[in-house]
Amino acid sequence: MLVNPISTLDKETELIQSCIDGDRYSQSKLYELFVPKMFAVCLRYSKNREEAEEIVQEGFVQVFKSLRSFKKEGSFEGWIRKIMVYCCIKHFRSKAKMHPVVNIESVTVVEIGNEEIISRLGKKELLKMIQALPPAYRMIFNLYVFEGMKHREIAAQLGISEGTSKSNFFDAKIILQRAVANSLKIAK
Amino acid sequence: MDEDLHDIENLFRNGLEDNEELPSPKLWNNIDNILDKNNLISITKKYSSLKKVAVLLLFLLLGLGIYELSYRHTTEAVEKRNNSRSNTETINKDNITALLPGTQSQKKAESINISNKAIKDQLVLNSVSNTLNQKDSYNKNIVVDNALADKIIPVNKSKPDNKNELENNAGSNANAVADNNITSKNKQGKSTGSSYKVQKQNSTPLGAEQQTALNNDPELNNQQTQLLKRLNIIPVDKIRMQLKDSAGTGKLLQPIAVNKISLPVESKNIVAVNTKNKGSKPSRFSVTLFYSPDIAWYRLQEDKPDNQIDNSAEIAESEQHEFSSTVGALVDYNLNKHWSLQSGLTYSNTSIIVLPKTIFAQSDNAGSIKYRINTSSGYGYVLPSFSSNPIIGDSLYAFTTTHKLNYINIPLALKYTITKGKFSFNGMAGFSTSILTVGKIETTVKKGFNNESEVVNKLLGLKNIYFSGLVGLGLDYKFNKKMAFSFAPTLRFALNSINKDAPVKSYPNTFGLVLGLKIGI
Repeated sequence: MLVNPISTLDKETELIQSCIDGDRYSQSKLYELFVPKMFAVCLRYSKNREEAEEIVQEGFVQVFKSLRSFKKEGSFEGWIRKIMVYCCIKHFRSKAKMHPVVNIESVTVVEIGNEEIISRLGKKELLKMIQALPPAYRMIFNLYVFEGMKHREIAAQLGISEGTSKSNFFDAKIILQRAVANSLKIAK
Repeated sequence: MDEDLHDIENLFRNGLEDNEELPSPKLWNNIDNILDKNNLISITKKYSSLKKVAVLLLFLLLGLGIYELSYRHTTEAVEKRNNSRSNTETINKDNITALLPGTQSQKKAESINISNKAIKDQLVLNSVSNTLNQKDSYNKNIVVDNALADKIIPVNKSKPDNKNELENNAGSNANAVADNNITSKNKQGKSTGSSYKVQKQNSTPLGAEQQTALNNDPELNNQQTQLLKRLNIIPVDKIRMQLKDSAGTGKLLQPIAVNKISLPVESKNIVAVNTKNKGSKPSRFSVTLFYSPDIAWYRLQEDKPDNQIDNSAEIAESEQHEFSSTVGALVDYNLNKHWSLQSGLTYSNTSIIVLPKTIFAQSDNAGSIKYRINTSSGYGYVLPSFSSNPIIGDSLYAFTTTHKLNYINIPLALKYTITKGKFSFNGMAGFSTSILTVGKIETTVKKGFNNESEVVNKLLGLKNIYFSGLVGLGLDYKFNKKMAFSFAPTLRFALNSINKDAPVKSYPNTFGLVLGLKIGI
């Protein structure tokens, strides 16, 4: 089925305008439209679902508050996603003091159980592996892999050095590789 | 190994990029509740500006009410004084001077001496028409007030023929005038004996033979009438009158020029009072030299909610306003008794402490890597000698940081003043233009065992000019005619932010207690 992009855009514009006007029904529609993707994004940055829901909640409130500043130059979904990622970073920064420095040698990889393996390595399994990463590693891995940010940018955003960013990213990959290997071993 | 790790990246990217998950259904309810709360807050904020306007209007209304009350009291007091003085006024026949026609000499002169200070010596003496008796007319300015006019009554009303009853054309809006109808007798060559006298306590007649013919003058317009009424003066100008000499010769009094009427006593009084008024007339300008300890705070507003540098809540938590003050001179220009314009030149300083925090190295505007200090007002870069080549992301610990802002302000305000004895109460509203003179940061940074004090003399991200609104109430206590002590609590609130291109906008507000000395120029 072909979807007319112009009419979709118009509908999106109408929906945004209604949300700006404070129409709660439109706001709920917008939420329903984007929450599955945004929740998935936040899940990657969070330790668990509760934390992700907390961030999504904060993110959507921010989205509705800032709708007027959306300039319609880029994708609306991209704009919402940017806010969600910002909320994730903010959340991370607010708890940054509580994060201990991780020694890569001491990291224990979470073993994935057989019942959770879908088609050998399913999405949920991969997600759990990311969630199992230490917060700083998880944040850097996400920003680099999914947001496409450079280490210099990550360093500036998180207030760390570029070297630290690179090092943490490397460690994160080692941890994930071990986790994947272990999961595959178990799956066999 | 590297290849495997690279695969890991792709594995996760491909596996989770388009992932979608649904949160618990209660999440929307939470968001819904938060949006409701935010709406309530925004409505409150929206009405807060209206509340401010309402309070301002209330003050103005209150001021107006107090003014009205005090004005009425003053008017009543003046009226009472007028009445008491008018009862003691004397009429002196000898002071009425007139020149007879024909002989070109003064046959009889009578003058009315009226002492009435209450009307501020603005007694109306005006024209007399030349239309009565075709040729003969009498032109005279009469000095009279309402109190005196009340005393002028026609003595002989028994012969109504050819008698014109003249009324001031002010009609119903001049009650005093209506009470003072002047009846004139106008008949050529005849003296009907219709005369006027000025009624004093004992009804002293004003020339037995004098006859006055008065006609109503239609040229007296409402504006004049209202003006005179406001001044509490009977508009008896332009009264046409015909006088006959007191000797009963039947000859009409010759018209005389206004400037030939001699009212010596009255003139003296006027001169004396005018001189006095001139001497005591207050200057329109006054200068107030003041010092004001201020309570300062910032209103922070996130301009770019998705920014990843600053956060208004974090800034508000990490900053504390120190002592602020303003000094300067204010010039008042009095527009009238109550309203005045205020302007001047003031110098304000604000000091804000930033609690200790970690700062990070970033690329500055010139491309060099330095440690950036963010504050609510702006930002600055430091490069301590012990860490002169940092890389992006390196950190330092900054002990308590102070940022100081100094502005030159040019206020312009409208002021309403009510004077009560030695005290003057005033309310004012206006705006102020603030020009940045100094914006600097002082801090001490630490890394390991190294400490260094740093001063950044130019705080970046600040606008050079910002505007603020002013509202205030004031109280002046006069020591003498020239000097007064002034106390004025004043609120200044920024109309635009002081920083530019900042993710968090800062709007400085101050509440100052202005203490000053007011000097009349």
